[in-house]
Amino acid sequence: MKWMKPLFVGALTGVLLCDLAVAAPETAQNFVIKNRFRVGWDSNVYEEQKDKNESYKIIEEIEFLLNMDMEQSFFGLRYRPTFMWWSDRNPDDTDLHHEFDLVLAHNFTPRLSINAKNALRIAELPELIDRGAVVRENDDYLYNLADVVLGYRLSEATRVELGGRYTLLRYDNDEVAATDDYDIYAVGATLRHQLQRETALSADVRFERTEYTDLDDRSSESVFFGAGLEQIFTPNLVGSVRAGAQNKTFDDSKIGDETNPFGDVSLTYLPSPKTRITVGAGYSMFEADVYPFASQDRLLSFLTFAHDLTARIQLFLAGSYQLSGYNRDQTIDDPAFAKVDGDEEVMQASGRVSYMLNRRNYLELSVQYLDFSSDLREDFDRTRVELGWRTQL
Amino acid sequence: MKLFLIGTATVALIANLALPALAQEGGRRGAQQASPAAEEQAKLVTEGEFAQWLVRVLGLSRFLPASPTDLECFQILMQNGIMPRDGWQKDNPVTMGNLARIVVLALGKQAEVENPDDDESWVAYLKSAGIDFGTIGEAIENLEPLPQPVGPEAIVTSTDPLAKLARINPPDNQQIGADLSTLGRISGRVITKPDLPKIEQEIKKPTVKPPSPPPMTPSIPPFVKIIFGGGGGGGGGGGGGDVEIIVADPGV
Repeated sequence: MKWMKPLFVGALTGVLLCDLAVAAPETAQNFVIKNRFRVGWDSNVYEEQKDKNESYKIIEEIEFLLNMDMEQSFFGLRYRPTFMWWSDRNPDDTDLHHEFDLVLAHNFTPRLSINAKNALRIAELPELIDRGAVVRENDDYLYNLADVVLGYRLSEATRVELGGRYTLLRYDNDEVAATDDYDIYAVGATLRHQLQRETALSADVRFERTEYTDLDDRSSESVFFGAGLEQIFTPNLVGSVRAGAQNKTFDDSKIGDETNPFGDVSLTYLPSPKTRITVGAGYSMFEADVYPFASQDRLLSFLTFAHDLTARIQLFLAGSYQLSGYNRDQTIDDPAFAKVDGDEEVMQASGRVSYMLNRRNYLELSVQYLDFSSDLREDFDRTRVELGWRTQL
Repeated sequence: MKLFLIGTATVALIANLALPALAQEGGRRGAQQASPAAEEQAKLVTEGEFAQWLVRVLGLSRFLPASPTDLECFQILMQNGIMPRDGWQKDNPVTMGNLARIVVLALGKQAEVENPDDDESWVAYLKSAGIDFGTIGEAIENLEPLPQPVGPEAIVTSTDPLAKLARINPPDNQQIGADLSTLGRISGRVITKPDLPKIEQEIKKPTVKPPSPPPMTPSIPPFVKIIFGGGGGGGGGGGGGDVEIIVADPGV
């Protein structure tokens, strides 16, 4: 990966600098190392519709966490590399992923604060070949997301926030990079008001610019106007809803612009101290996953259920559904590609049981099922079973 | 080289921002333990403020937007089974009973509390375990990132451009405790011109076969020749011999 080496050396140097900082004797810090080791089975390694290939796999992830909490500041650092090995995958039997997260919060005064967050994801997903055919091109990528929010408390009940975000996506494969690399710039302002003890309202405006680095026609600009409500319904039920309108103007003048509603909702309910249920859904225009589309209308939803079967055994269940709608009118001109309408559906279900050996050691068993159906790409389904050991040092 | 400098500068800048505050940290801890005023102040901390600190110390910040609201903090703490006796309330001051309860829940020791309905029992448990928690600062000092933190990591349904997430994640993320892997296909580009006739045919294929249009010109059925024999022998036409009729084939 052309960008990986310098970036990693840079990040490593930065970590060393942080390490020197926390080595100061007066520093209060919290450093934790976690490890998660799993062996598993995968029913469809290449995500194919027919002639599926199964494989056993080993997943090793180690996580380094550093938290520094201070009177007016908080600094958090997290690095998690993940290594995967497959028993039956060609021509490369390994994947490697890196996650690097930074969190910084600081209160300048009781009224003025700043929050910053950075998430870096680097994936090494090699080309895959099944029976002589390339089933996946080299999908190595770098994804970085940086957020900064400046907040000011106008009064006891009212707060205003100014936020900015920069998202970067870079693929290693030149052909994919030519159409899918992007930068997204977003800025916005939010006014929050605590209306009652249990109710908070908000109004916000956002501007977002999505810029495909080598393909201007796929780029776009959006303006969002939204309003939100946060409510504590009962001590056991809390939730939020946000809705508004989005106007998206495409750089390709043939596509023009589009105004659509957007909305999302989230609810968390604890019917008993041992049971936790969360549901969420969101609908909006979103970056397209399929080329040569410039946008998709995306509905995304999930439901999760967690229950403490005993003091040591926990059960987690999750289901999700995504519907992506693609419109031929939002396709950029490319003589090599067709202009068609189409939908994609992704359904997922998962269950995990965790057994606590002691506070720092857990055994776990998980099963996942994914069903992908598309008018535009090949359908497939995939089942994964994993047995693991999680420990905290 | 440029990327190297960006990477180094970013991390170093953040470290430098943190350093001055780090230098004050030791003093703050001491002051909190020594000064009754600090304790009094700690008692007035609201549950909203406390929740904001808890999500950071317990390693839950990465599941949340950069500047989460109090309710977003309450939600994720609830998803991790951490809440005061009567639920989270933004403006409620943190009481000693609730502080003890939250510390015990965050440490995962709730099963060892004798009488969970009684605040005193939570306080007594912490005292018996030798855990100091007289102030918020002391309470937080006893905490560390949760061994099994859960949150909406694999799927974020927010539509806010300052909070949304693309489905680009390593393949081992969890959604509130259950593994939900990301699609392996990050991008897709399968609709090529050679595929076009096939795809259009499939998309346009009607579910019910429409009736055939009526023919512009009626089709002409084949004809058969029927010969009625009147006399014997001989060929030759005319006269009183065989009669020859041509009709349409009835079988058509």
